[in-house]
Amino acid sequence: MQLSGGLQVEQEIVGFWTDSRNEIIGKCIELSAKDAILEPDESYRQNREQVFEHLWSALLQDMQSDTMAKTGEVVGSLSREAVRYGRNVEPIQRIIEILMKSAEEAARTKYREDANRASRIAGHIKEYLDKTMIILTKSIIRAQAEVIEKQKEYLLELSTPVIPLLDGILVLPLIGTIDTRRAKQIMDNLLNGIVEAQADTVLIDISGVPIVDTQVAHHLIKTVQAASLLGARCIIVGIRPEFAQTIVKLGIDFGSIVTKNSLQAGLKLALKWHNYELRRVGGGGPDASTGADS
Amino acid sequence: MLERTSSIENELDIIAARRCAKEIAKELGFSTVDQVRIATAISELARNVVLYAKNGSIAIRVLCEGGRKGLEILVADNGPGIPNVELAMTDGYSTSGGLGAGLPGAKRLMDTFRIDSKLGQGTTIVARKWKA
Amino acid sequence: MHQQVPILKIDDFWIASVQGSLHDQDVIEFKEALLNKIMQPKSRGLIIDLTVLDVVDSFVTKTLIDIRGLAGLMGVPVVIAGMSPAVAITLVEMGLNLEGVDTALNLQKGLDKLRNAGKER
Repeated sequence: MQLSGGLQVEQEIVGFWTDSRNEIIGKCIELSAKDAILEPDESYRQNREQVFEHLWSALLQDMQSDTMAKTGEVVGSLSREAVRYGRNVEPIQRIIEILMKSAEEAARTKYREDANRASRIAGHIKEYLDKTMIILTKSIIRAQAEVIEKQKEYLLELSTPVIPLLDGILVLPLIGTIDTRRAKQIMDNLLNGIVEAQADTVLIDISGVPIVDTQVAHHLIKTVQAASLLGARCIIVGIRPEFAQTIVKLGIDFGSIVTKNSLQAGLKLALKWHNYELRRVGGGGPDASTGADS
Repeated sequence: MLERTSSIENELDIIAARRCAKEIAKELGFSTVDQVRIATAISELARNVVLYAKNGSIAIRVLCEGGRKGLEILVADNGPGIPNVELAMTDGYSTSGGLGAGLPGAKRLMDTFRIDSKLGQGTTIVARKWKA
Repeated sequence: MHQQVPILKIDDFWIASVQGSLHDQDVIEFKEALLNKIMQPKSRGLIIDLTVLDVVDSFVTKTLIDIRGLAGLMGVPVVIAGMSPAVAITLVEMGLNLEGVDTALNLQKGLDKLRNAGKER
């Protein structure tokens, strides 16, 4: 990132930037109080002066070292924070613009006797404004990409949970569309879950799967077969009428796969297999007094 | 490019080929399940060689294409050849009293599967699996 | 290389722990050895433990199905135990689902299964 004009000019802008700190920051606060975008913005109201300071200081260091490293860091961290918490990124842009505008005004005031000098300094400021804007754009894009990657990971984790219910009974709630890739992951996840929980019974709830076609049916059958090789029996619940019709129409053999028409019915059956029985003790509804024990 | 070839004549060779492929797959970073898929496919194909062709060879090659890593199995023999490849690839079809799952099974475990067979000349099978 | 599969007895149950891989010669001897054991009195069941086996192909599968058939003829129930998730997935993907063969997650569960089966009679 080369500055134009050579060494003398470099020192000129550095000198100005250092000397005019108070004027620049002062003007920033003044302008931001009147700014349509920045004024109402909650996120920077408390520490507005600090942010300007930070940016001013970073730019100074960069001017001295002829890079944009420090500015990159500050802008980067502002962008990441905004993107991560779903805030508007416009305020950051305004902060940069106001800083540069304030600097320019400070220069014009300071060097009103020396028009050339004033223009040169203004020119440098403009250069830095452009560079900083480019950095801002890149930072935002990068921050957004990071968030998307993280979300993908979370989604993958969340989408195939295996929940141990009690005494060797697992629940596998399936939500969302199931393609071949996801089906493989579900099967992998389930089998590892069976090993970990030493489970004998798995309740597979497919009510959250919107599209259930032959592919899904085959994935389901394979999953149940694999689970049974590990000695675990499956109960499938949540089969919607359309799915049932599809299976019958296509002559898919569900064989000995056990199905129940509700999670509740499936659970009762699972408990029965494990020699448990659900019995209500006391009146209907949750009992407030027993809440204290838990 | 890493490539390992060995001859297949008997049961022990099947086991050796399987072990070798599993090691390579593991080094390439294939998941545990994929390692087993590959080793099982090799077991099926190599067993066919022993059963029908009496001897043949197997080559395991590391693939690297466009940033993706993979593994290629090449099983070749000079046996009698397969008269009807389509039939041979049908589930349950077996001429050795087996389960008839060898060829179609191996195909399902790999990503790509190509089989060339000429009567009286032999059979060549090339199968690939890519790391996810 | 000659591998003999150890066949032990716990109570009235036989447990065969398959080590390494089974191949032709061994399989014939294995089946014979098993038959000799379950022929003996007080043989309430047989568990074939596959825990150490990392690859199960169609040949091994057929062997297991054969053994189950043979033992069944002699009235001895068989449980296949200790299959790994990777092996289970591979078998199912190949289209071999060992239908009709009883399975258990591990040796302990296999024993429990056989014991409970006995009680119901």
